[in-house]
This record gives sequence, structure tokens and C-alpha cells, in this order.
Amino acid sequence: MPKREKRSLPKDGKKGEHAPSPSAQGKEFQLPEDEIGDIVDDAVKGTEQELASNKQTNAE
Amino acid sequence: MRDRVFGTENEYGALIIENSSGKETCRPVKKPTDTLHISREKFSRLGLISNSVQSSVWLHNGGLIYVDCGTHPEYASPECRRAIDLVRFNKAGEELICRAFPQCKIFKDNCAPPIDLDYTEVVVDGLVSYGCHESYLVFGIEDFNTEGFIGSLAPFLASRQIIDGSGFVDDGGNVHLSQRAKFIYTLAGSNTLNSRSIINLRKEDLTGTRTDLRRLHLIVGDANLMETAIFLKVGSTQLVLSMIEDGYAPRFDLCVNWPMFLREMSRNAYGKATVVVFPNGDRFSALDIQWIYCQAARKYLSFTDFESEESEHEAKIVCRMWEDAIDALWSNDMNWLVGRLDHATLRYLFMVEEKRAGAHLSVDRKKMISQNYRKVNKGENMSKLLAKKLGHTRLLTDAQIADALVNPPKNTRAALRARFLRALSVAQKKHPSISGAVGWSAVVFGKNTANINDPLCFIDPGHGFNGILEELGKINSGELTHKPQMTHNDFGYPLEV
Repeated sequence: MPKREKRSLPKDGKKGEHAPSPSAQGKEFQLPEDEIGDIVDDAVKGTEQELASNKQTNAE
Repeated sequence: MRDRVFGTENEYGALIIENSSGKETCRPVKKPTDTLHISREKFSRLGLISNSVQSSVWLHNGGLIYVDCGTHPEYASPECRRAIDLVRFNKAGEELICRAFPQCKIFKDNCAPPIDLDYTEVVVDGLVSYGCHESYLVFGIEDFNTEGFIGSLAPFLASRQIIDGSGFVDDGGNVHLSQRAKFIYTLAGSNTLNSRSIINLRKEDLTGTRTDLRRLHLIVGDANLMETAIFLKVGSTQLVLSMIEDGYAPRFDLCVNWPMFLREMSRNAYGKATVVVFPNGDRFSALDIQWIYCQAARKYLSFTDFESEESEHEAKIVCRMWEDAIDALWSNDMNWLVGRLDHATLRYLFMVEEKRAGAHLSVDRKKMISQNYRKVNKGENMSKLLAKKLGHTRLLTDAQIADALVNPPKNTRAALRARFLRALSVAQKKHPSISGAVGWSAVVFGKNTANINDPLCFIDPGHGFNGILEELGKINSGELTHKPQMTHNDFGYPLEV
């Protein structure tokens, strides 16, 4: 059986001895939350219209 | 560490677009009346549509598009030697599938089309699963059904969904890591339609008489949209296979129910909580297991030989990115995960939407977002728009993907297949009655069949192949006159020569 290495052992659900996250290693990046939200909203709106049209056609 | 070839087959969900009295509606493909056909008109420049089977087309990039079971489109990438190439050809497949089936809305999806959103009157049972199958060339291992092979590979694959899971919303609105996990019930077996296995034992080598080469066909993975997820899925798997071949891979006991671990872990947010407990009391989470393999790979790469600097470079990038992914999952580093791993990206989309709505999302809304995330048609492609916004996560440029629509990988037998297809296309323009046939390990022209059994061979496969190309070259230059006559080739259907 393989042995676990110390780095992979978080204690009490905390990060333990694991390495700092990649972002914390100087790769700072802020997610463009608003723009991503707009993309999702637009897509969902399109699907909702499509479904409404589908339902109407099926009813007809 | 030897260079190997690998490829993926992506099954797509399709909805047929219908226009009636100026209104556009969608419905799923019904069996058997709706058998899909590839658009011959729009596709002739990208590949060779078989004259006898209108539902398959060999592509100039060396891959294949076909209609599986009459109901769903499927794209098999050409054989690739580099993980980054496979990402390129996998992404090109999304574009090619849409061009081949312009009458459809296409979803890169492991599950049935979005039937539960009132798209349909067709009842599809809950067992439909569209997958992303992977194939890897394996050296010197004749039997996959051994304790050593399974003990080394199955724990890796069972925990790999923390990397390649594409996210799944169940009927209760719970978000799972993987779409495929709930269909995996056995450790090893050859069934691909039900009772699916972590390790598929089906023997279909596609290497002709080469008995030293075997094809490992995996059906356990999800279909990924994000480039990093595809790159890590394939790159880490090929590292583990190299370690197995060289006797260096970690090996776990098989007393654990690995399929159950895989299914339970999928229900767990980030692979931390579900643990596998061994009789000696050892406890491992999915992240622990991935970390063990990743660290073994790091050590392995420090002493193994490589076939080229390019191989070494890519293997080390895979290893470093694999570590980053595990670190990011441990620390829930969304800045790293979003745009790279699909399940994390999907979770983030839900989070953003919940924040905007100021309330929990309904199950239907979550499913709608999930399905939109997987839609690959041009103009409606959420994953592409996200990738554009998150440009730092991309591994490829659009131009590199566009190149893969028409050009094959240069360093596998796909390059030979593509050379034959191009020569044949030119000949067909001059003489429309000319036909030929092509397969994964052979090409046929007239009465001549040339084998391309070695997937790694891309330069000179021998007299048979060269003879066929020479003959086609002479027809194309006008040196040889083409006289149509009917014959039968090894593929069992009539061809004109």
C-alpha cells in the first residue's frame, strides 16, 4: 500500500501542510463576476424563450 | 517513458431544430424514425463521406464523425501523441460536429439531452448516458485483467473525477462532481452499455497484427469543455500508464469497493469528505489518492528517459499543473479552478446566479444553466464565452483549434490517413466515380489494401501505402487514366476503382 505524504494530510478539515493555493503564489486574478453573470443570464434567457415557444407550438 | 498515442470519442446529445410556420422549435431524436444524417453539402470540404454509409465521415484531420445507434452524433479524434494536441482536436470536434449536423442543437454531454425541460414528448429512461471514451496505446501488457494492473489503475481512475468531472445536477438540485459516475458499477469488465466498469476490458486493438501493442479503452470519464480539464485528464492518465509499464506506479488493495467509492465521491463537493478505508485502518480521500499518484509521477519524471525534449517538456507541465489543480481543490481556490475544471466552473456559475437572485436557485434553473454550459453550437456557446472572459486559463488559441479542423496531428498514423484522404479527394474532383475506403488501421484503393498498423508510424508505412499514393498521384496529374470498374474490398462493400 502506498504511503500518504505529509503534504496531503489536512488536519481537522483545515488546509494543514498543503501548499499555498496557486492563486496565492503570485498568480492573483479576480474573477469578472458581473460579466460572467451576464453571460449566464443571457444564455438562460434564450433557453427560457425557446422553451416557451416550444410549449406554445406543442399546445397548438 | 515511451511516447504513446491516445484519442477520445465524444458522444453528443442532439436536439432536432424544426421550423414550422415561421417558428423554430426543438425536439430530441426519436428512434428509429429520426436517424441523423451528416450534411453532405456542408461537409464535403472537410472529409470523405462514405458512399455506402451516409452516417459516417472520415475527416481530413484524421478523425471520424459518425452517427451512433442512429440517435446521437459522435466524434472520434485522430490519434494524438501529445496531450495538448488531443485538447486541440477535442475542441475542434465541437465545431466539426455542429457543421456536420446543422439541423441540430448539440450538447457535449454525458447524459441524455435536456428532456426534463419540456423539450420533448419522448420518454427516455434514466439510464441513457453519453460518454467521453478515451483510448490509450499500451506497451507490453497483454492482459489488463490482473490484480497488478487494476490495483494500480482503478484507484487513480476512481479518484480522477475531481479533475475531469464535468458537474451534474440531480433531480433534487444537488450538484455532483461527475455525470458519468452514477453509471459505473463494476471494477473491470467489457460491457459498455450497462454494468459499465472503471476499467474496460474490451479487446479491440486497431493495431492489426502488432501483438505487442494494446489499446486501453476507458469509458469512465466525463466529457469536458475546459481545455485544462481535458489536458489533465489525458496527461495524468498517460503518466500513470507509463509508471505502470515501468513498474513504478502506486498500487492499492482491491479489497475496497472502488466503483462505490467513485459514485459516493461524485456526490461529495470536492473529493475531500468521502474516504476509502482499508482493513489496516488507512483512510484516503480522492485528493489523497490523486496526490499520491501525482507525487509518484513527479519522482518518476526525475529519473525516467524520454523519447524527445518535447515529451519531457509536456510531461513536466502536466505534472506541475496536476499539483496546482490538487492544491487549488484543497484550498477551494476558485480563482484558479474557474475556467479550468468544469465541475468547479459550473458551481461558480450557480454561486454567481444565487448571489444575483438573492435566493437559492430552483432545480430547473440549475439544470438550465448546466445544459447551456454544454451547448456547443456557434453563437450560443456559453463555455466559449466564458473561456474568452477567462483568457488566462486557456492553453490554446482559436487559430490552433481552427488548424485542427482540417490538418491532422503530424506525428501519428493519422497523418498518413489524412494524406490518403487528400489525394483521394483531389482524384474524386477529377473523376467523381472514384472511390476508396479508409479505416483506423488500413486504407483501400481499388484492389489494394495498405495497412497502417503502427499508430506511432507517420513517415513511411511501406510499399503498399506508398503504391496507393503513387497511383492516386498519377491519376491526379493525368498520367494515369481512370477506368471505373466494380470490385469488393476488405471492408465488405462494393467500390469503384
